[in-house]
Amino acid sequence: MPFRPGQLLYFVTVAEEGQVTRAARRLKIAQPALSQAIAQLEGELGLQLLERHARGVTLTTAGEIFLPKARAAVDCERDVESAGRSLSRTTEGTLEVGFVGPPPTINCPELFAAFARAYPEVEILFHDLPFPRGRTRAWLGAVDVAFCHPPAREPGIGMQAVRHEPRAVVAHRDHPLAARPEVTVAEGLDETFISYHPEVQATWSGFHSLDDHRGGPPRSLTAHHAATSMQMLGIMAKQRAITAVPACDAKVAQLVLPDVVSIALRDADPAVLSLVWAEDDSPPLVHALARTANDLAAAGDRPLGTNGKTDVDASRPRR
Amino acid sequence: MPFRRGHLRYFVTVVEEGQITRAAAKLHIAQPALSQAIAQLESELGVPLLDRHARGVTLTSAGERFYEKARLAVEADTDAHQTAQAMARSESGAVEFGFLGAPPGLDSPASLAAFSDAYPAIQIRYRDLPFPSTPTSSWLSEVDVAVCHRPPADPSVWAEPLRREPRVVLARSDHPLAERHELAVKEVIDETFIGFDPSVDPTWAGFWSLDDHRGGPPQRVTVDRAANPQEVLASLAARHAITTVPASVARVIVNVLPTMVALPLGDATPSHIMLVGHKGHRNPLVATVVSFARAQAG
Repeated sequence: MPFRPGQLLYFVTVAEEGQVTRAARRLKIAQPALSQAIAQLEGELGLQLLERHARGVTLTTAGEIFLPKARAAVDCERDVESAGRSLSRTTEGTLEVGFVGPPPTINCPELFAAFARAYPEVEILFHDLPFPRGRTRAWLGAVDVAFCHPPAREPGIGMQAVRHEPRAVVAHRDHPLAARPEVTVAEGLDETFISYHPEVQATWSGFHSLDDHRGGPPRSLTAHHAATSMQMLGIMAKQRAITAVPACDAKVAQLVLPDVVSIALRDADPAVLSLVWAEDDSPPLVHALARTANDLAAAGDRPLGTNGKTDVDASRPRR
Repeated sequence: MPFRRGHLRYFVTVVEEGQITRAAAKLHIAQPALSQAIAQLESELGVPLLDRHARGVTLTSAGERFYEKARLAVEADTDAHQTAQAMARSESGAVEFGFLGAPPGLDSPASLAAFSDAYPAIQIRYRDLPFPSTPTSSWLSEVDVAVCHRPPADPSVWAEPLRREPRVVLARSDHPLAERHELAVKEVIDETFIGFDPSVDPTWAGFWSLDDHRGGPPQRVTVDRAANPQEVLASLAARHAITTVPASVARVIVNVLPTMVALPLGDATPSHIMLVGHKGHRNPLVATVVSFARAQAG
């Protein structure tokens, strides 16, 4: 297409508003950026479309002839975009969503509510997954997509960051730290940590044991290994050991289990709750869910990177 | 969710060409890049648009629904752009003038000189066109006005008849018919005719093979797929085959190429030479060209 996305819409909006300032407000872009875009369009076409006055703009003769064509192009573009959306929406079927920890409908209700609104025909089945172990591709197994802090990156694994979530420590209420509403990373680093099963991915157990802040594994670990969230909570109930999880997970654990407390970790790098899927074998609905997540992130002012894939690298141990 | 620049046009071209390879050639991009762009579009939409076969691609049912809208969006975008370009040309006093085969000035230099004398501020730029394909508005996309035998009708294109011209047979000078001074349609109707490219509008191409007299295509056509006048000349030079052309075109060709002969075809229906251009305000200078040509044809 000869025109860049947005270029014609900018011109049509300015022509309709009769003023760059009002048009910029309607388009939600900065006024100088809009003026520049219009000037660039005129430059590329070699055609003056607008006359600038002190109180606004009017169309030149060329601008008047160009306006209906530009409007038709903008309308057609809008049509094809909505056709594209309804196309994806007519997709029916079932999406199998895996999760680690509390169900995503509790931890991230906005994403699944938005997806249900956009794809009312789609049925979502949730599956409790063990901690990631072995190859991520194999761990995903039967689910179409998983919602969790990212497992190990591998070629062919797609990820879409959904939300940054602070980490919190979970501990038994008898634990010395349990009385504190908040601790620093330094205060927690030398505690006894829950040991993760040896097959659990090193990036995963490391992240939950604060290895990324310590620069290595904890000095003291429990004798029993946890391979699932329930096992982790089970070990915690018996031993004076802690682990670090996304704060939303910690809150749920505290609500559900009277013996467990959640302690905010003030200065820990956040978890990046993400959608994770195998790119070679993902049904279109996975991309629809990822797109919904991306739209949500774009709509809100969350501190999300523009590209979720780079943000996910926060899970790498620090050197 | 705006689509990436170019992706819609890529998709529409692939559908129209029915093949990634041909579409890539037409779009002047590498075939893997095109395949990747289409795959990306599909993944963004979350549905497959094309079924891939060994011999090409066809639309899925979702693809069919999407294609209609995508084609309209590409057309509207192109139309807006071409309108702007034509207006920019008119502001700089230029008219893009398309022709087929013999350049208009070669046959009647006096009228061109008369035009520049009368309108010194208007600069006419000539553009050699391929044979017409449909829709005619797309075929004319890069020019403001063109002169040619009647192209396929198109609601967004106006046509101004200029003159009727007899058709003549064009052949190599050693063709068995070349010794004749005049021919009748029934004497040549079973000859081997030059083959045209499938992209050329079949009715338009068929006119030059006398399909209108025969009531159908010739029994024998060459293996050629001529898409422009040069390719017809190349085929004529290489084979014992004939075609017909308007008399004015034939005059230019036999003057330039002594190996060709032009044989009047007394009883063939004439060709209809006309000016054609885009409806709507595009290049206002075209009106001047048209009224001048109308007065000349007078």
